[in-house]
Amino acid sequence: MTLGLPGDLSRDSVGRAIIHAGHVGAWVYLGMGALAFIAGAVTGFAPLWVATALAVAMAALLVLVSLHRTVVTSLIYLVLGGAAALGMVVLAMDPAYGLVTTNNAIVAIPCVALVLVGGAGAGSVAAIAWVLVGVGVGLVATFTGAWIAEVPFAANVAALGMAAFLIVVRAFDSVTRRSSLRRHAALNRANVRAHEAVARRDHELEAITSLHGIAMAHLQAIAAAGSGPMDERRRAEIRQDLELVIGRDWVDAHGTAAGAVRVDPVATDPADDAMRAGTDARAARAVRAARDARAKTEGRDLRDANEGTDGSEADAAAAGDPRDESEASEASEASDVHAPNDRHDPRAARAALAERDAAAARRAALDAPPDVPTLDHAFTTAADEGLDVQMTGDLAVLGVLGPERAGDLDDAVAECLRNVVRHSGVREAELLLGHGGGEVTVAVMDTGVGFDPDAVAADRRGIRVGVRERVARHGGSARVWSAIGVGTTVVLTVPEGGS
Amino acid sequence: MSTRRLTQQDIDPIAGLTSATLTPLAAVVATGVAIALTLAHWSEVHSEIAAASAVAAIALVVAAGIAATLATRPSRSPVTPERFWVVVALGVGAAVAEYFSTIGHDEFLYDDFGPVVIGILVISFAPYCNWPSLLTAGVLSSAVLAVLAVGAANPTWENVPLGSMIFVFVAPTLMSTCAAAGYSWAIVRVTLEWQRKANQVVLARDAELRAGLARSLDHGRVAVLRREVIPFLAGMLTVERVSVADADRARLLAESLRAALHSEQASTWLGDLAAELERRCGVEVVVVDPASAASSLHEGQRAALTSLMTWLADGRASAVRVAVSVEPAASDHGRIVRFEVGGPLGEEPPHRREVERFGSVARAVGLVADVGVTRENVRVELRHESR
Repeated sequence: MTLGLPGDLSRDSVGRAIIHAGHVGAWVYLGMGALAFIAGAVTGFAPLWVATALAVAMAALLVLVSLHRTVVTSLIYLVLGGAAALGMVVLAMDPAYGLVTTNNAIVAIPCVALVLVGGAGAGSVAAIAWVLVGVGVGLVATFTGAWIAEVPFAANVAALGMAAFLIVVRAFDSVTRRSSLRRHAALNRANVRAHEAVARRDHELEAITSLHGIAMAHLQAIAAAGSGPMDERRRAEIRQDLELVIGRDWVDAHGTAAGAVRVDPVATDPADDAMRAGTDARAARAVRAARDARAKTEGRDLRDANEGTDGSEADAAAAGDPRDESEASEASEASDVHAPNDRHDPRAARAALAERDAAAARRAALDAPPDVPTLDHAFTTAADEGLDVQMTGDLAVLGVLGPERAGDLDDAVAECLRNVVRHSGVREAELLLGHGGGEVTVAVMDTGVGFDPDAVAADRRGIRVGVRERVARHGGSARVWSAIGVGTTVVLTVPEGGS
Repeated sequence: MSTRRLTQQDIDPIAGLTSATLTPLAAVVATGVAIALTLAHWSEVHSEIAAASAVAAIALVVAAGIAATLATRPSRSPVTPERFWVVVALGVGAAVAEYFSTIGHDEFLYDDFGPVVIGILVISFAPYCNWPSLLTAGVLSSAVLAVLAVGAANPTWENVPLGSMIFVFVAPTLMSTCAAAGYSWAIVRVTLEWQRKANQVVLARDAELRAGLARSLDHGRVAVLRREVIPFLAGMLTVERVSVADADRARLLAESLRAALHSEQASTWLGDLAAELERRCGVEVVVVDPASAASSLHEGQRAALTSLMTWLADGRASAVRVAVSVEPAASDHGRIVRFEVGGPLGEEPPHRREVERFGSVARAVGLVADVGVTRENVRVELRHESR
């Protein structure tokens, strides 16, 4: 993360840094004033020891403001600092020093320090207000001091100049920073998005390389040998590799089960996982049904896999399993979203996109057999809220969950998506579904404004009741990561099975 | 790099760009202060040489302001320490010239602009310099000013202790430079603190994404292939004989696997991003990167390119094309990677000024950027040298 603070945080942080700078400046100015007073005191102007003490006292009061920047401490500083300034003005205007009016460098010291109060609040308006109050207190102290010392009053130009400079800087900063807020947010979002693209690329390459390393030699050997008895050595090697990659249980389930026949080439992971884990019959039934649902798309899968390869491969794959009418209809629906009209209107395209995703999810849900749960509530919520959800993973993994557990998970995901719409400031979210280690995991990610978990409890953002309690009821968990400007990630995990 | 050496522009280049608008303002204020105070104490200018010196002092302030403005222009980012010291030197030169303009007749040090102008100029560099540099500039400038204060001692000040005079005279400069140093220290600390938190979240998110992708087993073409290949091999564990259909299928799967591997190796994150943008924004996004050179960008540069593509695809261009080309660098030790991003204008054609901002962002992360906007097209060329 090198692109710096996100917009809102940048405004607050720069505001705080400017206030800190003002405090440092005031300390230095008071310190220089104290040194000037000491230099005068040691050369015979004894009252300047009092002025020194007053300057040091003001600096100490400013430390209090710096450590606890509240309205109370700011007011204490202004009141007591004003009194100290009054004392310094009276001392400085002694005729012995030859100062004609209160517009001089000595009176400027406490007055400038009052202007640099940098009181409570982070916004430019609050900062400017504190500057004006500081100027006012300084003017009152100067006027009163001049009246007591019986010298002509003149507003201190240095203090007024400092106030004007601060006001101009804060106002200018506020205006220019406001216009750059969206740029900041967009850059941080782009940063996260680029990160994700790299992660996906790495994963894909790693996966294909791994698969290539495992399977290529076996496939080539089988293809080269042609029809005939299966070479036992080759069989053993395949078994060994599959055990290494997927696990002995899975291979046993597929390779040695009584009456085992050819494994269907479209077997899906949920089914396999359920068998591997030896889950209850209900889950197994559900996932078998999911596998059956998947079976009809076998030809299309392979055809998709061959996209980008040479035509003969694609043709060969397609030849075995022509697309049925319903699939053709689906394809037609999907392509409608990319109709030329939408291309010219990105917003309309986005709206259509959200609707398309919801429709795709509904179709996926319809494709699944009736007893396989879906995230219908979540996708309906996303569509209602106009949220563009990109899903990675297979809804069929929910087949290993009982209906009630899957329903609660669906509700929790819907709540997470609703939170994205309410709080993130973006209209897109990412959904990752996965199954492994006896758990189903759903991650909901957005690249929105995020929040500071130290400042805002995650429980206050609808997470506790809507999400945590729902998954905790089933022995699951919800983890939340968020940072301002980076976005929020909620990971929901529930164990397999359940009612 | 030690945090003492860090500046706001190093760790938050965007803030550096935003701050660039403050420098001309500071230059105007400094010039205004110089002119106003020179007029205020013009009665102390007693000769033509002194008058020329006073004018020269103002001219030096103007020069310092112009130098500061040019030095911090986004098109010349990042701001280097040399530029800062040039501006400080011009400011100190102005103070010296002002000293000569009133030498022997300076009634009040209070109305000299030198210390104030140096302070203002140094403050305008706070986002671009680390706090030790700012503090050093303040101390060195104050030392020069202290000498001037001693030299300017007027017979009418015989009652005022010299030490007091020096401290009061240099106070504005020292105050301003210390304030600038305080700003630099505070903003770097706050930014690093946020970056630490943000990086934790980004890493957690990254880990979750990678784990999620691994768990989902349903991502991209490899998953589809995996779904075909693994069950096929598992099926081979139980067959007695390999049929002709099995052999044909093995051949087909092997070819698909090889093609997928070649395709994946040739593609980059940029291609994935283009597909994602095309899906999300509904405009055609084409990436031509035959040498897979997109991987040469570092994190910040990727973000800048991603941001530009996202912005263009979001209605500013009706189609986006990114052509990545590579050519040998002049140094013979590296290569120049060139990204030509552009396309025909969309529903919300961008203003050149808006596109320029992306150029500035790109420059802030170490890319050379050229921007072009015509009535029909928008084009941004980004390039950098990589090993």
